[in-house]
Amino acid sequence: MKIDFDDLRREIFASRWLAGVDRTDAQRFLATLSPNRFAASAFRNRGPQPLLQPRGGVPEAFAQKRLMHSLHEAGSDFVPLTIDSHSRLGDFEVAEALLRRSEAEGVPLLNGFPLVNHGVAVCRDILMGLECPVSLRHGTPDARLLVEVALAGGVTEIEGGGLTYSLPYSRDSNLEETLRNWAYVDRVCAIHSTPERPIHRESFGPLTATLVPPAMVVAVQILELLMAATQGVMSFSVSFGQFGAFEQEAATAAVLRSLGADYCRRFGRGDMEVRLVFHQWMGAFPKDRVKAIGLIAASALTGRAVGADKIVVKTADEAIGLPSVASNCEAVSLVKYLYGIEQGHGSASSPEIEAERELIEAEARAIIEAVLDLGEGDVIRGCVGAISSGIMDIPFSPHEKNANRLVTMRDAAGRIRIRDAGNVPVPRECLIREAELLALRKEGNRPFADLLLKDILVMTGIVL
Amino acid sequence: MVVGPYRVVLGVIGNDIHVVALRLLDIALRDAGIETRNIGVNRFLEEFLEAVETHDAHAVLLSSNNGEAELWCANLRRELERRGKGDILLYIGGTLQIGLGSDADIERKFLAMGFDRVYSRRGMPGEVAQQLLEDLARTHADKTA
Repeated sequence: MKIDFDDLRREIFASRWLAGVDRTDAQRFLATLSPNRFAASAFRNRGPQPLLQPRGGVPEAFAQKRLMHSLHEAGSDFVPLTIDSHSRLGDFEVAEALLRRSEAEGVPLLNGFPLVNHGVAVCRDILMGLECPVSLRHGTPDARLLVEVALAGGVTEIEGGGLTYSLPYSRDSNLEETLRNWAYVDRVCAIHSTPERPIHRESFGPLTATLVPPAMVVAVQILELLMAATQGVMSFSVSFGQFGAFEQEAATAAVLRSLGADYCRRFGRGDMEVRLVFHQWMGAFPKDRVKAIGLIAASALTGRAVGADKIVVKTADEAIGLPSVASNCEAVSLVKYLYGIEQGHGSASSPEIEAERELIEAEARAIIEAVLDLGEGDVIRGCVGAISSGIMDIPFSPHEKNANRLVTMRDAAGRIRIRDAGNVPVPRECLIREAELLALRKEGNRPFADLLLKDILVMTGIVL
Repeated sequence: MVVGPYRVVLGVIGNDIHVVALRLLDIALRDAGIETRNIGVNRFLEEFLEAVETHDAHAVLLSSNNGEAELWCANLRRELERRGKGDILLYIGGTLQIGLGSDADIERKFLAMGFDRVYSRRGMPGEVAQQLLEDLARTHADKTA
């Protein structure tokens, strides 16, 4: 779908929040930055250990600067710019009022950094002196204005996508509009990229992080990769969240890499650099601090064992609230320590992993092909149709267009299985296999919803 | 006696998209033979009232997880009474308040606001469904359809 890009950019730049910023400023500024400020460099030059990415955003500029520098000193390879929830919904006036109050009262009244309100000059200022990539972390259906400010401000990695930042996060965002807005983001990242300094795009694989089957995660990742490829993005990360089942994590990593390469080639973009990002457990965290730290440590080793290029690190405060700087740095240094004490192997394989790999690949391909067929060459059109028909169906999505007919649960080994595919085109032999694996779980006569709750709370340490 | 299954409106009230508990309750209620009318997340008082009218509901189940419940549903019982629907069962559950107050205190407060059952950070979905069925049966035992 061709978009009249220059007109769209002019529209965005008419916003009061970009007053004094020209459409060519970002390009000129980014060219002055050292290649070390670009994600692609970090990935190209990565040693044997995965790169570390924490999350983090606070309202006040100096505090954000201090947070980012502290995280980098603690050992993070990427620093975060995590955006507050009002900004994610485009409520910049509300964010402005809360920012002023936060500054006046000395108390954070926003749960992230209001980048648009702070503006380009402040952004450049707080990033000065950081010799590593800065990554925009958020959950924003319409990120056009946010991304224009970010790029002009020197942010070189943009997380998110039209599917991954709408289906888990909103009830009624218009899906077609959201996908076109993210096509804008992809395109603006592409036009600001050079081979030495590409702007990196990272999709958000965890989705709802609630019993999402690996095949659906893979399908969504590949589709977002293809939508970015269509707009000329040069450097992209597919990602997924820990499932709570090692064999599925290892298998998903392998399938994402092979399908990523296959589909890029098929779409004439074999030149794209595609990386893999692993999110530490994104579901309900244990409240107990010792368990929380144990989970972070175990998850870090899993991420390395499945060959991830980058790990998104959690903190021990996860079940309680927004992490303190100290707790965030503590988690980063813990993971850094673990990656330093022994080398570890880059890949995991076993007959069970191979069996999961085959199953996930067959299911994911079937979903992707159904979406591409539906779109007749237009991936956006395919995605919109696939959601409304339930061909793509994300368990526990709050979105009113999500079909909610795909039903999943854990099997006896804790792996996520498809109990009812709804309208998702899972091949028959795969459905049979899923049912066989599920049949081995025996839990008497407990209500199904209670079993699901138990599956969802698997990492909390609560016995249900 | 009520002829046919009971009809229950459920949803998340307020500026809140936490959908997991709501979805589990929907499944549990349906598995218990209740007909659910799930209006989803991020809904407000008026929308619940409208749904009760549209579906001639026997009960309303609210889920709230951002600590703002009182703000959004303090008037629910009164508004239902105004519309002649005062005998509808009202359930609420979730993280109903942030900050001070034990779960027992919170439950007392919401019971005083007119809710029939309150589940402050507790309650398995199957248990809530069973309790609702019992309460509905008892409420309609000596009424005609």
